[in-house]
Amino acid sequence: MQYHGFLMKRYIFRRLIPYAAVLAVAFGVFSLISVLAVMEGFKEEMRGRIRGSLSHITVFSRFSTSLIGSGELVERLLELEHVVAAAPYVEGVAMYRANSITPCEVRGVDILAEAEVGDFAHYLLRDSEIEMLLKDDTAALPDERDPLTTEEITSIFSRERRAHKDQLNSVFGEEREEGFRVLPQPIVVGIEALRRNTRIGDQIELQSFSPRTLEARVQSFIVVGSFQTGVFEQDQGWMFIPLQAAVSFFDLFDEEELDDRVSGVSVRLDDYRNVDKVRETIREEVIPYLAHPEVVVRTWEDQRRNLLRAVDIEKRIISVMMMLIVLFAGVMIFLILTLMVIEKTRDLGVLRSLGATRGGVISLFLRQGMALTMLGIVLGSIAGVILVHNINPLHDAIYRATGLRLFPPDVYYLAKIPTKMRVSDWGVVLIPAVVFGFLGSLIPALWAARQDPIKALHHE
Amino acid sequence: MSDLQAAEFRPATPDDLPEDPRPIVLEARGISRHYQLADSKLEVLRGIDLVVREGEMVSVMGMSGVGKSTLLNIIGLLDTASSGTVIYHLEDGPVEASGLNEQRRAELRNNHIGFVFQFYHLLPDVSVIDNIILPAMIRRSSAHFRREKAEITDRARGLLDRVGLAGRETQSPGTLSGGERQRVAIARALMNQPRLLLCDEPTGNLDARTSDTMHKLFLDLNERYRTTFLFVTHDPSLARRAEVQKVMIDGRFEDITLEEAIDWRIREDAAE
Ligand SMILES: Nc1ncnc2c1ncn2[C@@H]1O[C@H](COP(=O)(O)OP(=O)(O)OP(=O)(O)O)[C@@H](O)[C@H]1O
Ligand SMILES: [Mg+2]
Repeated sequence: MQYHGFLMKRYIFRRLIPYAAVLAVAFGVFSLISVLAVMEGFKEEMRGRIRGSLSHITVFSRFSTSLIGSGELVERLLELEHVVAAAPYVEGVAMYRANSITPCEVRGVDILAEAEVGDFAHYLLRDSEIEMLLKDDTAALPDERDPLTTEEITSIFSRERRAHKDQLNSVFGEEREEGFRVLPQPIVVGIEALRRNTRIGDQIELQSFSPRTLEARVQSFIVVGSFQTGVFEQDQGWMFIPLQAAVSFFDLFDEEELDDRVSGVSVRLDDYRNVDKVRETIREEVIPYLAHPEVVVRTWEDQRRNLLRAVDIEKRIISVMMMLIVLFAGVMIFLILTLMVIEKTRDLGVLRSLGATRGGVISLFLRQGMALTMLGIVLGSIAGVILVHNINPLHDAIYRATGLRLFPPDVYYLAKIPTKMRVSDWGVVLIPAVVFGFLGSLIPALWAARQDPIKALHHE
Repeated sequence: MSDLQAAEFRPATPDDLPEDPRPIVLEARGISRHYQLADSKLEVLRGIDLVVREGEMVSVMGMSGVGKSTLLNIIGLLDTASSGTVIYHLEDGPVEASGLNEQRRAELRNNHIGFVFQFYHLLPDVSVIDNIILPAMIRRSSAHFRREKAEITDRARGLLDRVGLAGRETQSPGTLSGGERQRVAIARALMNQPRLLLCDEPTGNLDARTSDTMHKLFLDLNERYRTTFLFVTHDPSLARRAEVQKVMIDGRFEDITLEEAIDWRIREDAAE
């Protein structure tokens, strides 16, 4: 009815206080949108990195490092549809002594095959890049960089490089005195380990136990290169050695079976989206026919479920906290409308005597509340979208002005703050805003309609 | 006092003339109203009969607390009687109020009943002209209103002129004097061309002089535009000007004239 819009203008839009509720809604929506966009961008980024540093699927032994017949398994896997590469790997935990004793996760891989099953070629670093990253802790690699070529990868692990230890050292300006009798195996350590514990050309000693014989194993390796996956834990704790070096370090040759025991086989698919389908195929069509079928199939998401869930839960917790702002906005609408009902009780009596229905009064207040909510949502959304689209220039400007980095790039190696707006995140923002706004208006509206017009007319 | 004597005493009123040609607007039959208090029943109205004809002016006088406002609220469909019926005679036939839902009662209030209160009850945030237009807004959807806005505004201006406040359209009610506010309230009550104007002590808050001009306005509206009035008042000079004069004692209309009632009250006051 005409009087709704007419009175609405006079009751709320010509006063100052209702705009506080608009601001509260806008602020809630704005915070939710920008926080969710950054969290989601960050999550995507993490997923991408983890996905790259782990292969799409791994088939591994049910018992630690005892997959026998990996050669046969690789062949069978390569026959499957969607599978483009497969390679055996060994993984084991070791301690290494550099400055101090540090645990690490040793990954023995077939150097070239590993570049095919994962993003090995993408995160392995060139000498010049290592130098740059070591010079400045906040430096990050450019977004687009060419993956290392096969030659570059082989040269990092090459016998010549190890033999010219002096040359390796001279590249990084340090002369080492001790010599060596046997040419040690090469090892590639994460950039964080290189920043803290060791240097290129260093000889480090790994200590572990053989999972086969359960005997202690000690072996020296020479640090020949480094990598950066972008996941801090991996860049700190992972170490790559050639598969054969791992077999010998962990003493994995099985005399009875006349085969190396490995931990598992990594598989890469043509398209990551086929991961569930291929997992089922492997379970049903490959595993039952193996000589040693005691294996498990996992997707990378299965393997990193906890980390991914942690990021997801973090996002959810923050959304709930941010929703408190929206809830607060709903409470503000409730308070403002309730005060208005009290202030305008006589007007309500007059309106009823002039022929307004109860429903009309409900509608009058609901509209006011929803108008405040909607205005807040629109303003908040616009502000949120603007912020999300300009977050990096803004961040840079803040850094230049105050020297403060809100988002230090060295923690996550992100040169830019990643953002991503998902349709479902908009739902997470808009639905609570509308629901809280509606509830905040409905209660005063019902209360206003319940007022007895006769008593209302006598209200002072 | 016998019926015969009473008939001699009383000047003839339209009620006594069954052949009165004017159509009936309102008919109230056996209205009673009680309030349930904590441990007792407060009987306020005890069977009121009332007929109001088109163009008539009816006044109701009575002591404070006798139930005049209660009666007006029941007739104005803001309250419901404990028993008895209120019937409105509209163009398309009689409508019995007790059988109506809230929606229909609101419609009746909007279309056929105009209220004038002792404390004016204008909306303070709304200009004079918009206060008058308000009943027209309540009736219409926004689109409907926009289409007829020009006529509605013209009519409101005309009403403002009729109550003697031409040119005050954009003033805020807060800046008007009491008498002026009551004029605006009357104009608002007339906006939707109601069948009946219900006034509860319309001059109760005004000084004698202003009251007097207000009385003249009522008479003028009644004579020139045949506006039908039912008003409750404590002001004998206004009550006397009404065509039909009712006196309420103890929840009933008592069969005494206004003059008797006034005499009686003066004597009571003197005895105190
Ligand atoms: N909601 C209620 N609950 C209980 N009693 C009520 C209620 N409303 C009115 N009354 C009582 O009904 C009686 C009549 O009230 P009413 O307002 O009709 O009197 P009135 O004749 O208009 O008086 P005045 O001339 O002072 O305005 C009073 O005694 C009042 O206390
Ligand atoms: Mg009263």
